Amino acid sequence: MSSLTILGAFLSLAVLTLFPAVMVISTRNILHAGFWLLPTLIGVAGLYAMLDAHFFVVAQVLIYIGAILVLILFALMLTRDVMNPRAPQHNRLVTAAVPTCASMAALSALLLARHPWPTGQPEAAAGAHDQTVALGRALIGTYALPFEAASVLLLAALVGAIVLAKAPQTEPPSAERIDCTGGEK
Amino acid sequence: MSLPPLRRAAPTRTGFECDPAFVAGQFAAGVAVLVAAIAAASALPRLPWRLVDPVLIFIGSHPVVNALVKALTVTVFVTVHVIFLIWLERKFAGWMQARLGPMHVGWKGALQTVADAVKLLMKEDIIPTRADRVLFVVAPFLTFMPTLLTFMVLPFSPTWVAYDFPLGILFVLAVTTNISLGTLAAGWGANNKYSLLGGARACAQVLSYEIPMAVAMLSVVTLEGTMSLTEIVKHQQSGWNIVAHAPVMIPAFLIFMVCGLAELNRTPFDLPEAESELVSGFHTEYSGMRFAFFYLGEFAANFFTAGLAVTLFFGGWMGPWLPAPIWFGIKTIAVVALFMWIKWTVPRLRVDQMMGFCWKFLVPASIVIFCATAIMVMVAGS
Repeated sequence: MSSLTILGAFLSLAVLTLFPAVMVISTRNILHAGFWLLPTLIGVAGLYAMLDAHFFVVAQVLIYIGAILVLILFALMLTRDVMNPRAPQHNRLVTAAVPTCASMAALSALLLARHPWPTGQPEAAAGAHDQTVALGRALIGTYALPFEAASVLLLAALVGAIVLAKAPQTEPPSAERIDCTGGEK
Repeated sequence: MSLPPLRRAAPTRTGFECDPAFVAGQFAAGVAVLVAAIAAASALPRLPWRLVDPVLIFIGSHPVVNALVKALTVTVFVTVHVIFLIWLERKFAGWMQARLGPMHVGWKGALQTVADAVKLLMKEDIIPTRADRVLFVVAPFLTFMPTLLTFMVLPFSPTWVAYDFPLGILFVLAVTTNISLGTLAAGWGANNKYSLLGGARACAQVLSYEIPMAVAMLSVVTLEGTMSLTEIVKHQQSGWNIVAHAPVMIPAFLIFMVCGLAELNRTPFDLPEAESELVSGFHTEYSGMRFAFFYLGEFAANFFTAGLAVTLFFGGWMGPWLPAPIWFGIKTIAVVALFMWIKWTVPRLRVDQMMGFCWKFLVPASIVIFCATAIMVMVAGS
């Protein structure tokens, strides 16, 4: 493919990732914010595809869209109280959150600026099959311990969720109906 | 005062009485259609395909044109074959219930679905006043798009596959889960309690049944050592998976079928649109073309799941005499007919039964079969 095609593909994927990302944090309707995550995550999958990381493309769609996004939306729908579009958009922790995010951003920017980005012709990536085989071997060989630790973390989260869900409710959930047009006409 | 005596209605001809001449006529018509189809299929390779070669070479040499042509072909196929599937479903339902099904538009009602599609296109586009307009409008497409994408990797023959993705099975799993996003959007967007319940049920059902289905498919991957759908078919050259590795593949196929039915929201798993409790679930408020998109997605997914079962367990396109795509079509339609047979035979489950059956039976069973397959492969390898 010519470099122009690649540039065009990259730019459209970047727009597909960044524009919805801005919408996620700016929209007043929290459920819409959840749905705006969809194009962002697809855009990231597209960027993986441009890097010949075949397995990550599919894993991104399977895990981030198919599982995490669906669970986020499901949780939002079950907790309708947070969906009031007239609720304030920033919370009490804003004074702590801003410096934290700013320092994280500064640190990431520093790391990215120091990284020696390879220029020129990259060598051809391995085929999708070989990549997947190598990843599988690494996960159950070299990185078996971190991999299992992540599983234990997820298991702990699962147990925690069950404990929380089983806890006796102090007050019944409000059945008040909320206007889900987001106040917009 | 005396009531007039009860009179029996005059017997009407339904076509299901044992009239030998009628049955013979039907049989002859069936045989004639089959012979004509086989003749047409065997004439295909003799057509002057060389004349279209320059066009194919042009398409093949431009990646963007190539991708567009493939996407267009897949879209057209998905849209058109659903017209046939809906007709088949109605005829099948009629047959199961001892009636004729559509008979008036076209030969044996063959054009009924076309007429219905035209009607749906012309209907007024209704959006409920208090609906979440954006989600309501987007939802039908969100449901249809994943199904459309899965057809990109379905191999109709060694060469008739839009994109022979080496991670085909994983791609299929990743994309089909996204259907639940569309149903959630539809359930929420309509701002209707039946829709919301239906959407939530559909989402929970698809997410739960995805797991045993994925593990059942993983057994096939372990057996074949590849995730490419075309490679899996090629490995079945010596014998279909379900025959050659029957002890593990028959249970795997049964789990796959049950989960497939659940993912397709078909009876006995049609809880998301259970008419008797939820009106029609997440598409209660939809009409016209938006409703048609839900229907289109559902029937296309039907063909795809059947095609996937054929690819994984029944040797895909392989078969004697006929060209590969014809074999693939015959086998797939047979599995689709099996889906229809189940749909019109079995009653609906309850919600708690549906969830319990998945988590307490299907998930452990699929893991046992996966372990059995892995042990089998290890023993055969050593």
